[in-house]
Amino acid sequence: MVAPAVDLLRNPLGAVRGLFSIAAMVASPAPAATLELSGGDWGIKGVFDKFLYEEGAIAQVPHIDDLAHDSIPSGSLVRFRGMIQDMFDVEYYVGAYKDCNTWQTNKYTDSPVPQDTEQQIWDRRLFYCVPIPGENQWMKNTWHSNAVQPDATSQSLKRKREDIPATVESMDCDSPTKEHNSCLVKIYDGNDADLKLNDIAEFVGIVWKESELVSISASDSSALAESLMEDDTSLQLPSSTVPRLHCITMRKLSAYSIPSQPGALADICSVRESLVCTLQSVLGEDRLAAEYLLLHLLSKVYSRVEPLAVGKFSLNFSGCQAGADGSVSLVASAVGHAISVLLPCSQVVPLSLEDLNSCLIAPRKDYATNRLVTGGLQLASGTHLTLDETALNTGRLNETGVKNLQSLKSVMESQKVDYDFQYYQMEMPTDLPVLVVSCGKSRILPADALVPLRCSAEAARIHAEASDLSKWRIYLSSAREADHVIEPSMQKIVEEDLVAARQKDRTVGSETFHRWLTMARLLSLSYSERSLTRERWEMMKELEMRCAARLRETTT
Amino acid sequence: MAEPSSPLVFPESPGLSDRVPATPVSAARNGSARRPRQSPSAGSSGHSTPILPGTPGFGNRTPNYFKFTGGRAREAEPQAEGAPVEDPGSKTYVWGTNISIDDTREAMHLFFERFRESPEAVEAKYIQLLDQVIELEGRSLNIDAQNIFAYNEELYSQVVRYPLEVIPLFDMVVGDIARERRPDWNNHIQARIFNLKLSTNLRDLNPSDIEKLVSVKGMIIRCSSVIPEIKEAFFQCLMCGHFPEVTPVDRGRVNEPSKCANPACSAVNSMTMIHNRCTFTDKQIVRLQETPDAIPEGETPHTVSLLMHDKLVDAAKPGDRVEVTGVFRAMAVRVGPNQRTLKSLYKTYIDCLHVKKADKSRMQMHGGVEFDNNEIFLETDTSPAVYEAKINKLKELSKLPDIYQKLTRSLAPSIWELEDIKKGLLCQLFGGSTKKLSSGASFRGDINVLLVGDPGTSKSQLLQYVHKIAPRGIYTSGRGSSAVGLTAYVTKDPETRETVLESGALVLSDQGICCIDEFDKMSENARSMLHEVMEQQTVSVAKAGIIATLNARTSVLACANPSGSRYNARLSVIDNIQLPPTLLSRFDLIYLVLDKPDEQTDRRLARHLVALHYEDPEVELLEALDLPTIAAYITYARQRIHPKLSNEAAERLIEGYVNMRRRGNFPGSRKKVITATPRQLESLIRISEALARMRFSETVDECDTVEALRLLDVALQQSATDHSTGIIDMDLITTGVSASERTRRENVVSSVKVFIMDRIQAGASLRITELFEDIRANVNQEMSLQDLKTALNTLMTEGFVSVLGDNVARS
Repeated sequence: MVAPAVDLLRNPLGAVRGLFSIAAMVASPAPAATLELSGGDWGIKGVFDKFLYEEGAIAQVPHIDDLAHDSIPSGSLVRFRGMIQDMFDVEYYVGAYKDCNTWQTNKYTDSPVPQDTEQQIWDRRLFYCVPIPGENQWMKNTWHSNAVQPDATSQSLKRKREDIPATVESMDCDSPTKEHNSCLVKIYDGNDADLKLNDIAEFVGIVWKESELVSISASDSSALAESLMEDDTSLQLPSSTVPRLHCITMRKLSAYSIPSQPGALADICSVRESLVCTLQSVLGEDRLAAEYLLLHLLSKVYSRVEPLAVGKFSLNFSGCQAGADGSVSLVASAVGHAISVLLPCSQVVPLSLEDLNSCLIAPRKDYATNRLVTGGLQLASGTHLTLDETALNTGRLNETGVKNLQSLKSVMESQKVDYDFQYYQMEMPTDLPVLVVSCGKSRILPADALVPLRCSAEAARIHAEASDLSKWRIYLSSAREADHVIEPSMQKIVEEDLVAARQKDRTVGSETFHRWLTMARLLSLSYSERSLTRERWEMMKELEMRCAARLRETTT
Repeated sequence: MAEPSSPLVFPESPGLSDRVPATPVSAARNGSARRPRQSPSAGSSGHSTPILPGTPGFGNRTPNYFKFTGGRAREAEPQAEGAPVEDPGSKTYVWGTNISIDDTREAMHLFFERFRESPEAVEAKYIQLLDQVIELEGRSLNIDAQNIFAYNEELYSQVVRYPLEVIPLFDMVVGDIARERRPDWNNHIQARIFNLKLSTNLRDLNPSDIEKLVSVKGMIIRCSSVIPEIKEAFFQCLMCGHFPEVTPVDRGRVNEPSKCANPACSAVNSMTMIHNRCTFTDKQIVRLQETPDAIPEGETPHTVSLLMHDKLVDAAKPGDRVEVTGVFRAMAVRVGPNQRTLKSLYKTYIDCLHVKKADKSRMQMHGGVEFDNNEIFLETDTSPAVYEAKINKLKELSKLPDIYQKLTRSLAPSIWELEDIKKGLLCQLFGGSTKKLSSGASFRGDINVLLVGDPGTSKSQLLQYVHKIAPRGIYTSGRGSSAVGLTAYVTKDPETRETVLESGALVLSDQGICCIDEFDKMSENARSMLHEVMEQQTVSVAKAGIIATLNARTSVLACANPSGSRYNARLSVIDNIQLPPTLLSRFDLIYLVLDKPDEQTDRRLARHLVALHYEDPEVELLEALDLPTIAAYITYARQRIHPKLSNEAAERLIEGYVNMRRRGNFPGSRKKVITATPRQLESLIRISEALARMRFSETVDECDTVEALRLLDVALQQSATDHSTGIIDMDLITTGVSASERTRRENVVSSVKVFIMDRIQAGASLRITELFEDIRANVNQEMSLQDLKTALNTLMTEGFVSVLGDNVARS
């Protein structure tokens, strides 16, 4: 395929049309060619992939939200990184039309077509994408500045931004009405195959805006047309606020992957040690809690055996004081802040009675607008949640509140969120590590592990050098992605140990075993070891023993 | 797309009304002058107007459309307008194809006249049906596409590929035949074609389906209000009162006569429309959404708009699962009302021909009446081939010798062991059959199960699993349920001030399983509501002006923690659960999920968990059936299999029951312990039936009863064991006190009575503690202070003693 000599960056449509006309010319002798054209993409994706990723031109592509929408002319190449919040119906459009006996394509545009021409109807998928919920500032900065090498000024700027207190977000009710910075992505040729709801992806494509101020109406004002248009979701989203992105190529991303990773980390142990020390100071010099927190930050669901989600490791810190007059407790805010600078996506949620009672956190379908109304629990997999139970007062929970608590419980127990489709519930698997901060043991939200905090100092905000921070981030993200196995010999030892523990204490049940196995795995991963060793197994038992001892102290 | 010259081009997609020619009749009636084809606003070009919404769809074809010019004649072609309709001698073709109109009509005639479902049938099926339609003055005839296919495959493919042309031909042919049968017949009969061989997944509709006949399944989520659509307008002159013939609607527009046609009047702009003399049809826009099972994981459901006409309006309500057959159409969207440029978008919808509710009736009515003359069809699964294949797969499964074990293994595979409990739950899922006597009495077929056990023994997980798999299940937690929440409650509608009866969990799980977690934490009041439900299977409400008895034919699966949070093996089940015996006896199977120290089981648990964490869990589960399969298996069995007791099985049951009762009699012992009650016999029958259902067997065989006896035995052995004697004692369940305990208490009472007779003079009194010490010292019988107090209470009711505070006095 000959790459056309057009500026892909500034005139992507020219390239598209050029490639199309070549394809149309090749196919034109055959009468059935029109149909063949609809299938392929005439090598467009290949050309752009090569240009963007192999030649590294992606860095020059502007972000759609970096510039004011007005300054981007219709038809230029832009990129957008976001989470798929809703999937709209398939859109049928005129893909090609015959203009003076030559086929012209209308792919990757919304431009009007002349009437009375021979036309072909093709289809495309519509995804409504929003900025990644709970994404932390540093992550945004890394994405937006990864073209330019971070220099001293931007570093300090970053530092400054990171010192901004962790944003405390209540469960957001208004988000469906917020169309701020969202984008309607149109995907062609079945490139959406492996995209799912709540996935994060970077789309590169052509931005399109309605050129003239026209009220779009069906060609006749009859009742049918009106009622059909009424259901048209894209009409509710004017292109002036929600730009249309005609996606040419895209990359699927995960919530915990960090863009550029300059080489592997040299000394895992020292990185781990420094991170634990920092977490320790955040938790008021509680080393044990810091170890647990590290394991918690590394956890992710790696397999599902109905109804279990294997690998989840939710944590409950008890013994925390409630914050003064309704604000977030000190521990929750310190930990929340630490997590927000370490993990790409996180949220601190104070569980106050009013918030719980006011709006549903599980997403639901609104059939009047035919859209999925988002809720606080519609998050990309890997987003960390800190729930502050100390904010919960005694009082009456209404129906909404009960449903919300059930949703939270279902996330903690099986990592699933029930989306309400009115006539039925749809279970969406998710992966949100949950940390509960509470006064006593949380009975409402059952965590996998309970650690009573023993603060010998005040919980402090994280203070660290930017270089350390970036090291820790890379460490966390790579440890989280790693695989892990167990050798048969080690398997024997583990089994023996479990049996012995159960013989000794009958209260040790499958729940405890699950926790131990998960912790042992995470502990190995935290040392960057790919298989379980005796040492780590013993270390895990040591941690558990100390934690159990604390629990006994607390109860007596 | 086989036809090379049939481009995928729909600049105007002419609907039927476009090609309505001025037939001799209508021309005479309407007069060609009054057929201005276009309102001025639509431009003077007179043709190539895209088909607009409002174009009458198939739903409301009228007799006017009968005559057919032949094919997709574009209006641009001059001869289309008013051309002779059936030019004798020359053949007319469907535009762009080699399908001859005459040949097709001929094929249809033959189909109607010849098609018989079985060679023995005396009369052709559709002639017979048409006669019925005529007799009932009906307006539509349902035609099974499978029949067309069986008779003439070519005709079938023509209908599916060119519905816009071929279906009106069907109408015409049906009309012709109707007039042959009854010459004075002049109503229009619509051919409603349904049951296509292939039903398309809503998700898979694509541009190549446009203007094809498609059939999709889904759930209705929204219905618009009924839109009256004008069909014929009636005008009257304001000046002279003259009224011309009704004006038919032309492409969604009514052309108002600008001048009175009465030569004497000739007033300009004097015509006014008289609404109540116009004719209207109903129209409705309905939104169809994919059913949950068709949605791939991690995606949201797709939707499609449906256009319904006439009788189809309001045929289905939101929430109904339907299968619609219709023509998939696309409509261009314009930039501005009068602009010639089109926005490049198309709106798609399905112009419905036929709606079929796919409801629970689906399974039951299968193989029953193939056709009824309802406007809306409520039967037969669309693609019997697929359905048959599914059923055959299930039947094959049922023939496996180890199907019982396989099902057991597949139930909650992540929960390990607890084999017998899983078997009990399986029985509950399959259920026995409900029996109705001619006297009106009915016996429930639902099996109720109670799980009592130590915390952390995955009871809740079992419950969750059953809830997921049950045909209809509600999951509640005892702590969060109130009596009204479980049964039904009455509310006042805030707007209309009407009292509304809202169903609670038990009513909602009618014909299903109601899972109640933390049964012990439930309030006394709520629990007492269960009495009625668990035996009579109804819920009665009498409040706020509503007195109603609602069906609640539900099985109850409850789980409870022992009262002391851990099971105390020294106490009876009753003491452990603290549930009223009346309620307890209504459970067919009561399982104790106890955590017994056993190294072997511990080892297996450990291995299981390690495997869960480190190995590919898929491999481990290969043996088991997946969830949808089990669910389908259970649904099929519950709906189609109604086993009857065989004689041998009945014998075996009787024998088993007698044995169970006999077990209470020890040779040489006077003690009478009741080991089984008639309730247990009923349970046995139900469980055996459920076991037979698992094998898809129509008879309950001996093996089922043997297993049922074993299951009940296992369940009873654990729950109804009298721990002081070690034998099964149903009294424990029914009264809460075991027979041996009762004899012991009687002994205590008599010895206390004797002792008091000895020690206390009539009228004198003694402190209870002193009496206790005394008895302990002198009577050779184990007795606690509590026992003494109970005994004194008994004696007090006899009037032998009186107890005042701490003192006992002999009266």
